[in-house]
Amino acid sequence: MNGIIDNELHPSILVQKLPVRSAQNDLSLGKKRRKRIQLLKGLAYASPGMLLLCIFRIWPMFFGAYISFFKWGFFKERFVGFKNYIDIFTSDLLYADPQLGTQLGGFGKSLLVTLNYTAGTVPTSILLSFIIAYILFYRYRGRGRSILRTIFFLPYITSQVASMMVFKWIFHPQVGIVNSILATTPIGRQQWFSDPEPVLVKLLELLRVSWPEGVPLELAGPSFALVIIMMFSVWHSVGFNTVIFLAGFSNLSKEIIDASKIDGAGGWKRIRYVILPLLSPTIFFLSIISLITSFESFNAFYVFSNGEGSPLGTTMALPLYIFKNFYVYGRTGYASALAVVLFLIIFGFTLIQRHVAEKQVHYEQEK
Amino acid sequence: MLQKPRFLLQEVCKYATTGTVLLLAAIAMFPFIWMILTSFKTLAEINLIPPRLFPADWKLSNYSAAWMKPESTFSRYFLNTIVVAGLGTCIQLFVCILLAFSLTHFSYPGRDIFFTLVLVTLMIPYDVTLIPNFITIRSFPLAGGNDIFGSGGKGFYDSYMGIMLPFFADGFSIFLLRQAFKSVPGDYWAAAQVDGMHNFGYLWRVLVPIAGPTVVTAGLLSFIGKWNGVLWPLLITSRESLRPLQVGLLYFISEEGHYYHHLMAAATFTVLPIVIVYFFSSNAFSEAISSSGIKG
Repeated sequence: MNGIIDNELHPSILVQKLPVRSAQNDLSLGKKRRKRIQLLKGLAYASPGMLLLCIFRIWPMFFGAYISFFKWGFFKERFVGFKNYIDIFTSDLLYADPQLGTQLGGFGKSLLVTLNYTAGTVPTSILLSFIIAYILFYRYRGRGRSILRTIFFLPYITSQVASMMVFKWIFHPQVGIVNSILATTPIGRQQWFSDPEPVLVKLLELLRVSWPEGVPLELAGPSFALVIIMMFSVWHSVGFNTVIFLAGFSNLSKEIIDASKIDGAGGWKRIRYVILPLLSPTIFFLSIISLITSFESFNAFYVFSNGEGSPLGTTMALPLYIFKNFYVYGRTGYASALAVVLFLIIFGFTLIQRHVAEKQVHYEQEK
Repeated sequence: MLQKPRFLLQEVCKYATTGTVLLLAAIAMFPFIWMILTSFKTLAEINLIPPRLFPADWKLSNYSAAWMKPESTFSRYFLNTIVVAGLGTCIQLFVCILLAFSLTHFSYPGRDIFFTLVLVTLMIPYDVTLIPNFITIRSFPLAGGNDIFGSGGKGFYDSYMGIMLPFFADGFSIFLLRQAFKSVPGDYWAAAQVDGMHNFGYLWRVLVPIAGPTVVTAGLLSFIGKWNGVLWPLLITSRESLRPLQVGLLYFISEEGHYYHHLMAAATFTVLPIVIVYFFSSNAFSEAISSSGIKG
């Protein structure tokens, strides 16, 4: 196998001009013919992959949209037009309660959960992994750098089912290690799994202030249960982001960093004015990937409460809500409409990010 | 003389940064350590308040108890996952390498459209494809008793093929491989032709070995994804004998409830194989990521 690469061409071969017979450069074939062979061979190599991508990635986009216009249970039943979408926005996002006024419906609640989750995890994870990667790359002078990198990456490769279970065990309300430690502090034990109260309300309680009247409780942040899932998610994703950041650092040109040292840009200034602008494409890439991953997070939520979204739906994320509508309630058409809405939300966020990035992201000139 | 305080500050900074990283690493490792420690404890020990750090007696009985549990047959789940992840990864690599080769080696009209389509698939969220794919798999023509129009039978529902098929082509692998193939100089192709090689031989005997780290990385990521996959196998299987490891673990959790010493033992042996695989390929992995030119 190695022979081909290792055997260097002997100069005499080149002088003799051995006739090379191949479709690509056989000059005896006509130009048209060569083009056709390129096309046929190219298509032959591409076809299995392209066919599979089209059937299972591209086609589902259109097929999903098609399904969403039907009343569709186990089988296609009848065309209903935009009814599923109208239902989503008139009764599932918000609904009018005779006593309580306008309330968040199931979809609204799950959207709120996913938004809270995204806002909490994406920036935290990116910031944390930037710090870790920066220290590992520029500051850390001890031994075992590659072992540290492996340690940070391990959470990313472990199964979410298994590791979420470990997190639940760590936060177990009776015998978990976190509550045992908290019991010795003034904060005391917390009901991590069953307390639906939002954390901001809790925080104000700790300061002996009550939640201001008139401000909707929906703005008071995630419940404890969701916070655990968020911590889990940060723990899980930091390793991947760190590896990408490390790759980004190693691609930065050393001359510019050295020049900034000579110019006297020390620690913080160097990060702010040299490294961050040069690294902005990496950060942009990570923020888009993290946002999409965060909006499609399912496993941790499912394992946390066995698909129930407890307590009180505060961990019922949007993908889990779609899954329930489809798998448990058998409302295929409606679930498809929800998925299309989810896609549009993600798409919208990506467009906004791109718009912001256009002003911020600095691309190096291709050499 | 003025240098001295500044020097001290730098010393402090150096230790602070090293300390921060070590502390974060300890936090990252803690769940693993706690999982392994708990998996050796007895029921009485896990219910101690306050908890004890180390088990009094290191015994493997939790492992055998979890493995042998009558309702769950972990040996079967392992076998299923090894088939799905192993075979699935091989086919995925084969399909993706061919496509990446086509995108870099040949020039034909439509090649750029193909590459754009590959990039577009990276932006499509997973949940959007879930329901349509479920229907596609269940009504796959001429499979599982289906007629040519895809009705009558159950298609690839509840089969290994159903678990694997939608993931054979993966945009990210194709992207990584294309970038790696693209960076191989054209001289190799010229040299290979002199040696009498054709496209197929050049691909497998020259290009793939040169792009080794990237091929390993694409394989590793694919293997991890298939090993840890939950949602799709949960949807597409109903027979117990077809459940992959993660779905089996889900059912095990609902059976075992609060016997956390058994759950931790099961978690340990589901996580262990992937950690071993990673340790053997981690160097190739970091090499491939830094040379892929991921920039956004």
